[in-house]
Amino acid sequence: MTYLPYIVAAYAVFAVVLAWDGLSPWLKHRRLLRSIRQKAARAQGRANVAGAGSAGATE
Amino acid sequence: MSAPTLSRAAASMLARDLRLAWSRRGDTLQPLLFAVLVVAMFPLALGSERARLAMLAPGAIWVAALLASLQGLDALFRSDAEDGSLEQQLLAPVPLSLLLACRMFAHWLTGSLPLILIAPLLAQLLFLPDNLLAPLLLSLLVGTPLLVLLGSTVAALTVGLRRSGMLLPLLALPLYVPVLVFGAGSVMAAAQGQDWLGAVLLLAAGLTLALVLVPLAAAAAIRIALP
Amino acid sequence: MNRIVLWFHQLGSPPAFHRYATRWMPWYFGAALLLLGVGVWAALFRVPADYQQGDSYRILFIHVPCAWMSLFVYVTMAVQAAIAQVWRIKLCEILAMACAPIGAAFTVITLATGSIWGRPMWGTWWDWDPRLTSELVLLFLYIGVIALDASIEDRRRGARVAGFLAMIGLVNLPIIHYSVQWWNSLHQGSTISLMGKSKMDASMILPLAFTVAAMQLWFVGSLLSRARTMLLEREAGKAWARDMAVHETTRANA
Repeated sequence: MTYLPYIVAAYAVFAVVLAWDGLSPWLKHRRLLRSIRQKAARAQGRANVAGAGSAGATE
Repeated sequence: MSAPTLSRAAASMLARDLRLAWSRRGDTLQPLLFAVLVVAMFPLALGSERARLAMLAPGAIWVAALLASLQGLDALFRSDAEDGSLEQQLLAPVPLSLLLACRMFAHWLTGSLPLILIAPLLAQLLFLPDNLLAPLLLSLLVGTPLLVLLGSTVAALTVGLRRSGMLLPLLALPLYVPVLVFGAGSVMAAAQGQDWLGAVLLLAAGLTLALVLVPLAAAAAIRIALP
Repeated sequence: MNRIVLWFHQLGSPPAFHRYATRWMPWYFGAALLLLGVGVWAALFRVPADYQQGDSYRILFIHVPCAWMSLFVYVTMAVQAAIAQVWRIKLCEILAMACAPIGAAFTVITLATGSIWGRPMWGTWWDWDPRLTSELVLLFLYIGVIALDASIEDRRRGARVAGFLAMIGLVNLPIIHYSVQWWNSLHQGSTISLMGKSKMDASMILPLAFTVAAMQLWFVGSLLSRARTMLLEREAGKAWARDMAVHETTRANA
């Protein structure tokens, strides 16, 4: 009896689940970094506008 | 006004819970009705052949008792959490674990004891052999308090959640596994002519331990779970 | 002694832990993959076929490490939860919750490889083997912890509540294991267990040691990775997170 398909299947499951375990937090971390950057950029933009506006008002 | 003695506090808590259960008789009896329905489902699903039902009877009745116990869990702390009584009990001068122990006892009295009382009827529905009735009743007598205790700890953890839905059964079932295995297994062992008392004694030992530890754990769980 | 305590304290600060995790993560994963490569190669190509089970027992070399890890991670999770509970250390709360999906992954691998291994031996995909049945209950325990943590909005309270559940589960683990063994002896008598009667040949132990060590290292790497991500999620609004995120871009663009 050839066990090859069973061995392949078992090792494949092993590889796939480990890959998920390794990749999913890393991808989530990258998404988080991106969203934090975007929020920071937006806040910075608002601060610039506010600064320019108030600077103009005091002139 | 001095703090009440422990026994008076326990008695009054027990009386309160029993009175509440009586005033909501319908709700309190629902799990019991559910167990009867579950038992009735087995012949409908598997056919009315006497021998086959007799073989499945101990396991089926135990599963029905277990599912009924799960049913009642959600309501255990919900009404007290919603109307603020739970917070009051937290602040009471009496240990919270004592109050919770009374609550669990009341829950067992109103939910599981009636089930044990009608278990002979359920046994007849499924053609349970007469010699297995004693092991069944004894295992239920020792096992259902354990189910209540274990389930209450889990219910205490979820007390802050608004709608736990299927979460509570999911959390409770792994903890129920040993009780089910030894409870139903003791009756199956009796059916095979083997020693069945050992499993029941194991359950009894677990129950003794749980009686001491679980109220404390449940009190800790409520403190963690309440915002 | 004081240096170690100081190191722990410093590590507890979110930006310090994030830096530490980011720095060491790749090394743990790298070492794990290296050892895994050696172990798997030896398991598939060097070790002789078993006289009873033929080639199918090669699955043992990934099944057994994952089974051990599934238990080890649960104990680690419960211990972290206990430390978080007693000493109120925020980092331990995060570490405990980070353990849960990793342990669940190991449990899934154990169940799947066990089932695949059992198919040629039992003729069915599942046989209620006592060890696998215990693993199944363990999977439900893990899922319970993950689900409970996810259902509570306040992240800190969620970690504490789910951590308490993990601790309860830990007490129950030996009871569950013993009860399933008793249940199996009651209902089935003796069946061919997955490990079979053949003793482990000396040549088989070395690849197993490699794969076990590889899984331990993988666990640490994955724990650091998940913990730093969870930490960043909770601290996303803080200044240090913003500075770090922006710094990453400038470093990448430089």
